[in-house]
Amino acid sequence: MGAELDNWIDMKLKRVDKPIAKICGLGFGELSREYSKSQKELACEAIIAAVADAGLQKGDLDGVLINRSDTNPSDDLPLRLFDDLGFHDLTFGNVLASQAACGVQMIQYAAMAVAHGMAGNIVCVFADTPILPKRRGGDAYAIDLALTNVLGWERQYGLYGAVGAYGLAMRRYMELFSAGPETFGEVAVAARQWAQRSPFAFLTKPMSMDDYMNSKLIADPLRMFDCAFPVNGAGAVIVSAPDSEGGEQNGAAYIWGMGQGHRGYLAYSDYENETETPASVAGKKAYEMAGISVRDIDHAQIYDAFTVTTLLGLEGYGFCGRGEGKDFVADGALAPGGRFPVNTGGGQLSGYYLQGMTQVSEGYLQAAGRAGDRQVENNGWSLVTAQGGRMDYHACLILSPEKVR
Amino acid sequence: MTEEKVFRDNKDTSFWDGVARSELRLKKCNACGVVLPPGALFCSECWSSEITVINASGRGRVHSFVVYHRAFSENETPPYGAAVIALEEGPRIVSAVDDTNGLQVGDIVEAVWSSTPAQGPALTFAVVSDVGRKRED
Repeated sequence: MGAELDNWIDMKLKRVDKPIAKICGLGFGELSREYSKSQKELACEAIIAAVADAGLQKGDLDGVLINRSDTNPSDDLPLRLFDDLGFHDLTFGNVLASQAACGVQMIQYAAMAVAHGMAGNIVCVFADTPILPKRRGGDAYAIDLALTNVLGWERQYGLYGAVGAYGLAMRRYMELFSAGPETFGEVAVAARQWAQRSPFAFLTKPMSMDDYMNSKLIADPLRMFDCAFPVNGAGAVIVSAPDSEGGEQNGAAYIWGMGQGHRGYLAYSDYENETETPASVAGKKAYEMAGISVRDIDHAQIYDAFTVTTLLGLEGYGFCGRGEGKDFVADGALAPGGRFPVNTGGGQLSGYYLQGMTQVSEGYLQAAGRAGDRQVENNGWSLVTAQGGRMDYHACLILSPEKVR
Repeated sequence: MTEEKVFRDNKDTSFWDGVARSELRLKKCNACGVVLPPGALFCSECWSSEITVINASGRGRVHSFVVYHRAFSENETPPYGAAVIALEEGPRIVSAVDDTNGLQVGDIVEAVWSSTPAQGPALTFAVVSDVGRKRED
């Protein structure tokens, strides 16, 4: 990875003088820790709020992309949303259901569509209700880690879902690279410090490294404070062509680069699923498209469903080499006042878990200069990432407040 | 998810016949030689459908493991360990290591077949050697 990283940094940058599209409005459906509204209701709330935030009218909207969560049946958030919202002449619409990378992927597809004139203003919405009247948030993600392709094999061992899979990744990272729990504590504590500055964040109680170390083990070495904070809610953003009217009042973030990286979870030979990901594939594509290097990035919103995903995201997207994340995050580097601002709204760990929409919303607010008390000093270039599966599906955006270069 | 399950459900029941005889059956590609996980229907490397069933030796290394301190269903009583074992033939499988005290990634393990499979998984693994073990003490 070291040599590969150098190749990236030294790669010849092409001259890019205009963005692909812009994000020009953001809206939420009520974020909560209790089940009070359906996914459909939350999605509609978010869409209506996003259109208003962009300074647009219902009639200005000609595209809708829906990202639904795999935690609930597909009928909970269908294309029938168009009925509720009273659309009758959309030129662009779809439901994306390829897991959590879709929070970013739908922005990409919308950007390509507005760039080619298939639509003028597209709303991209994510809604989820992991918390149901009879289901705790964390249990929504308790699904098997299938390595054998033999139905029923994995279930025998009680290796459940996300906490198991990411606990395995943590353990392997710790042993391969001699990292201790404090590496993950650094990520958790930094996220909490940012959360304290965000009006959207749910977990704002101060967290020390000791608090992290004392937090309950769930799937050792994975602790409670290594996990995202699931909420019910929805987020929507408006994606428009760079020269369109949206965002004139509240501000816009211009999309200069986009990338995806995917793999199968291959459980044989020397494929390394736990500590290496195709985030590197997504990053390389996006930096090339934007004509910038990873060194130009001023802050990053990295998908942080677990502390280990922040760490592997930083490595995968080239901020440091493989196994170097533990040094990169040390000494509060990611926290307010640190060397490199990451997940400035508290991320999914301490802010709120709306899958990819968490990073998209914060990336937009920062790039548009709307992040209030937590606004980063230098927001020139930012990276926004999302991932799905067991770190198998990756997508990213490169944003800037600048419309020209 | 649903589609994937249907695909996985198209399973080779001979795998479970093997388990009943204390055999862990893997798949080997005749064309490119790669050894694949038990449920492979064709070779995911070269896409050849010429694959043969082979028996795993039962030896492997700990690829990673976790120890659950919380039950996600009534079938488990925490604390309990779950592990990914990298078999010496190449494929990795989910299993458990009998004793996780002092267990480390890279430890050499060997299959232990249960004499009472009705009471739990038929296959677990046990550390067989201190070779490769990076004990701190």
